[in-house]
Formats: sequence, C-alpha cells, structure tokens
Amino acid sequence: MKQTQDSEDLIERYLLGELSVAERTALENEYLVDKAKYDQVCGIEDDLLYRYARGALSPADRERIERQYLTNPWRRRHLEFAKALAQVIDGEMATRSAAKRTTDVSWRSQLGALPRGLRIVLRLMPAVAALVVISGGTWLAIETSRLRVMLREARHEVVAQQQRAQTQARKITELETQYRMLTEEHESLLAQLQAAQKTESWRLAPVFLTISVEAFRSPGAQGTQPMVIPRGAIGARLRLNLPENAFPSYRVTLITEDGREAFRKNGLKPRADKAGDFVIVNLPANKLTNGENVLSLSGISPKGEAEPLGKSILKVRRR
Amino acid sequence: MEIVSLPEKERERELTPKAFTKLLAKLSTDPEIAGGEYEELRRRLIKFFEWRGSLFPEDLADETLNRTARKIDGDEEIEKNVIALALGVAHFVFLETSKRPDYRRVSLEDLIPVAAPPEHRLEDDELRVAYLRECLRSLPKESRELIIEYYREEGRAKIEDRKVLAEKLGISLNALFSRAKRIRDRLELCVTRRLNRKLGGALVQRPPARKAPRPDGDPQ
Repeated sequence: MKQTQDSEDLIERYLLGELSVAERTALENEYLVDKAKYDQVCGIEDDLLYRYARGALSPADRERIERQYLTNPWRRRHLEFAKALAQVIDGEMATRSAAKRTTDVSWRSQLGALPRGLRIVLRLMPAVAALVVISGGTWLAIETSRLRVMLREARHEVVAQQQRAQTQARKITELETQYRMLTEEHESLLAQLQAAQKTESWRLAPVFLTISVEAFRSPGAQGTQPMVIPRGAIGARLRLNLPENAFPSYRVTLITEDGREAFRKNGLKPRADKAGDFVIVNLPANKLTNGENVLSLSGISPKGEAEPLGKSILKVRRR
Repeated sequence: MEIVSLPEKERERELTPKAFTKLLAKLSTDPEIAGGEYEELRRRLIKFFEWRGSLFPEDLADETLNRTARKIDGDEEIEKNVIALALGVAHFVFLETSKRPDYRRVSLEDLIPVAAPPEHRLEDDELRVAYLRECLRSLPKESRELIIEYYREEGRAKIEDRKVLAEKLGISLNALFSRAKRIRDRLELCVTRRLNRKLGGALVQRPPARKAPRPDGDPQ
C-alpha cells in the first residue's frame, strides 16, 4: 500500500516538474515502454486536474499545479477542460437528483389527495404486487424448466434423426455405388459374352452343303459349287439327298486328294422332310483339305453289308 | 519574469512512405495492429513532450517518429526495439529543441514589444462548457453514462463508485480507466475543435503535421 502511495507521489511530483533528472528519466523510460505505467501516469494526472477543478486541493497544491499547467497553453487546455468537465458533470448530477426528487414528491402528493379507502388499497398494492410477482415467478420457473426439458428432448430427437438420416444416406450411397459397379460389370460381361458369342458363332458355324445322290451315281461328278470353309470353322454339315431311299442306314467316307481316308461315318439314319429323304453328315472341318476331296456314299443293308452307291468330288476352299 | 517564444515550424525531411511502411512493419507484421501501435506510441510521445513542458508536443512527437523511421529505413543496424529506439530519439529531440534559439526562454526585457494576446475571458469558459454539453450529448448513451458515473464522486466515494461501476460493466478497474480516458480524450478533442472553429485557433495546438494511419472517431 505504502509502495503504491510512494509511486503515486512520485508520479505527481513528475507531473509537477519536481523530480530530479535521474528520477524523471527512469520514470519516462518506464512509462514509454510499459502501457500499464503510462495509464497510471495518465490516471494520476486526470485525478489531479479533476481535484483542482473541483477545488479539492490545498492552496499550496493548487499553486504547484498552476505553475506547471497555466504557463503552458497545451497543458492549460487540459486544466480548463477539467474545470468544464467538473461543471458539466455536477450540473448533470444536480439535474438528475432534482428530477428524482420531483418524481418522488409528485407521487406522494398525488397519493395524499386520494380518498382514505383508496389510499389503503394503494398502500397494499406493493404487497399484492409482490405476491403476484412471486407466484408468477414460481410458475415461470416451473414452466421454464419444463420447456427446457422438452427442448432438450427435442434437440436429442433431432440429433438422432439427423444421425439416422445420415446413416441411411450413407447406405443409399453405398448401394448406389454397388449397383453402379454391378451394372458396369454386367454390361462388361454382356459385351464380352456378345463378343464371345459372335466369335464362337462364327467359329463354330457349320458349313452346310447339300449334295444330291445323283452326284454320287455319275463317277467323277463334281458338286455344284465349292465348299468354302471359313477360318476358325470347326465343322461342316452335309445334307445328302436320297431320292431312292432303299437302305436302313448309310455310310459316308471322305478320301483326300492324295487317296488317304480322312473320315468315315457309319450308321447314318435317313430322315425325311418335304423335300424328300436325306442323311446328314457332320464332318470335322479339319478333315477337309484344300482342293478336291472325294466323298463316297454306301448303303448298309439290314444284314450289315455295304453297297457302294457312288463317289462325288467335293471341292474345298479354305480361308 | 519569463515568457516562452514560439518555435518556427522547422522540419528536417519529410517522412517517405517507404520509411513509414518500414516503421509500421517493425511495430507489427499485421498492418491493422501496426497502425494501432503507431497511434499508441505517438500518444505516449505527445504526453512525454507535454509533461516535459514542450509547447508543441505533437510536432515533436511527429519529428521523433520521422527520425525513428528514417533510422529504420537507413542502413543502420537497429538492435533495440522500436519503442526503445523512439525513446532515445525523443530524448535527443527534446534536448535539441530546448537549445534552439526560437524555443529558449528569454527575459521579458529582451523581447520586442508586441500586441498583448487576448486575455482569458469568462465567455470562453462558458463556451467551453456549452460545447462540452453538446459533445457529451453526441456520445452514445453507454459512453455518456460511463463518463458521468466515472467522474461523479470525489475522494473515497469515488474509488468505491468506480469499483461498483467496473463490476456492473463486468470489467477490471484498469479497463474502466482506459475506457473513461478514451471517452474523456474524445470529448476534449471535440471541445477543442469546436473552440478552434469559433475562436480561430487561438486557444489550442497547431494542426497535426501528418495524418495518422487510423483517424480518431471523435464526436464533432
């Protein structure tokens, strides 16, 4: 406390130009760097000037201040302002106090002019008002508490709903992603399948050739057109028409250009359609060599004896 | 008896924008904060010169800041912080100024007789009070109430009142003082400017030599 007082005295003496050079420099170094110190110096100056303005200083102190502040226009301005401020504040306080007194007196005089019964009622009014305020306050407190609970629950519900909505949204997103992936996969597989089917259908497509049995009856007879085997084909299907179907089964033999038997198929059962009787021979495509192949047809009797029916030249062109 | 003769307005070199920018940058890397720090430093320097008894503290504060900025702008290696540097410069500026012929105190007998300045008039006091009332009314209600409450009492009652006021506002006593001081300074500036306009600048300081980076929002 004493230290504070000493510090304040030092500052006051500084403001009045009464410090030694060393003391003054030390204080200046301090307040220019330290804002709190600077505020303290300003505060002490403010109080000093305000006390001067209100006439609260001793004559000696007043003289000390006047010596410093009245001889310098800049500092005198502060002193004059302090005086004006004190005057305005005092005036303001006086006005407020007068207004308050007028209000109080006015209420009291009006109350005195009322009939006695009414005066009693009016005097009881504060108690009644207090009762109303207490009751109202209690009700308000209970209601507020209830509303707070409801609000808290509503907030929890909102939070839970938001969480649920977020979870569902997340699931929907995941399902959409899965669906999209599956769709893409499906489309990809479908495309692959279509491509594969296209390739396979082309590759596995049998080559059809219909040869009439007359071609076999005239030796060295040739088919009407060459048989074209596309690249990748694995089989050829030959329809051999039988105008006279006299055997229960037939045999077909394929002999290559160099006389080698490349293929033989026994037990070919004749079939019939609108065009007549025929047998179908399925040949592996690799058995058909490029160039002229000889196709031999024999009928097989019920005893199993083969009767040659003829040969036909089958021209094959492989691609 | 002594009177003080007015110094001539004498400036060495004006502050360049580059030097000013460097000074601000030394005060803070944030331009907004730097502007505030600059204003605060200038206020303290003005008070320093005022409490030293200078006749034109604003001019000397600006001169100090100019020189400080030029030192920072120059090639000199600055080891001190800006405030410490400015403090050293301020001491030097004050010593230098007090030695200038146009600033020295001379005896009355040595002066050439001139027309006497206008005497202090009672009307000026009344005008000051009237302007202060106007300036007070132009303040926001909270500021007006704060300044009235702050200055309403004297002695021990004043200390107690201020504690109560600080508690009511939810701030410390120091913060209360800062707020009150700010409002009081604004009021004083407002009154001074009005008086200047009315009386033609006879009562108060010269206009500031340079615009501050952040102008005051004082009531007019």
